Amino acid sequence: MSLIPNKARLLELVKLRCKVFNENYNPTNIRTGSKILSSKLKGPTVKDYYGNPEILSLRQVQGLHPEMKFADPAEVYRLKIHASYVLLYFDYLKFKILTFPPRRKRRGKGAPKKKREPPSAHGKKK
Amino acid sequence: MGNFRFPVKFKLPSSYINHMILRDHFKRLQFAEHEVTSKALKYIARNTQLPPRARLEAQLQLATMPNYTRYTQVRDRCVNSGTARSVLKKFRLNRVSFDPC
Repeated sequence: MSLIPNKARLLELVKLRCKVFNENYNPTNIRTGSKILSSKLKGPTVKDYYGNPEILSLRQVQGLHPEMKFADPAEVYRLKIHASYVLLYFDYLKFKILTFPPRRKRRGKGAPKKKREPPSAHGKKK
Repeated sequence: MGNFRFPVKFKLPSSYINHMILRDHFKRLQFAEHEVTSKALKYIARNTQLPPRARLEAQLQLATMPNYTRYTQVRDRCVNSGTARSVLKKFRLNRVSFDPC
């Protein structure tokens, strides 16, 4: 025999659940505006979208103390990436020099062969 | 200061500055400042258990608040170039500024 709880008991359960999880008990779905009150404030994050002017940047600090040397991790990373790109380009150039002329030669597009003999002194006969 | 173009004075943001960025920044600051009041008014206006007169008054007050106090006026712009189009929200950058090459 299954035990089916009546509606009052179920509502009691809902009420208890709301109490435990700090929710609004609203069985008749009345518009109480609690949705608006419970939503988080987004002003602080929206305000700092373009950066907070109160916080000094690393560059500004460096300007204030030119004798000190602060490492800028972003700049260090940028330089590293830049160096790697330069190395890659050199590799590409080396590859180009080694492979392109032989390939052209194979296709018959290389430089013409040097003539060993001087051109004949007779020239064209008339 | 004779002519400051915005109704309220504010500090300039630390990123790239552009007239559109300044406008948006101003709206953001004003929204953050008026958020609590507008939220309270909205709560009163939307709560059906409160007297209708109070609700109407709250709604009217909401309507009289200046336009720059609303979040709908805020648009995400590129922090690097100021463009409002194809901005990657996670990085706050335009697709062109985002491209490292």
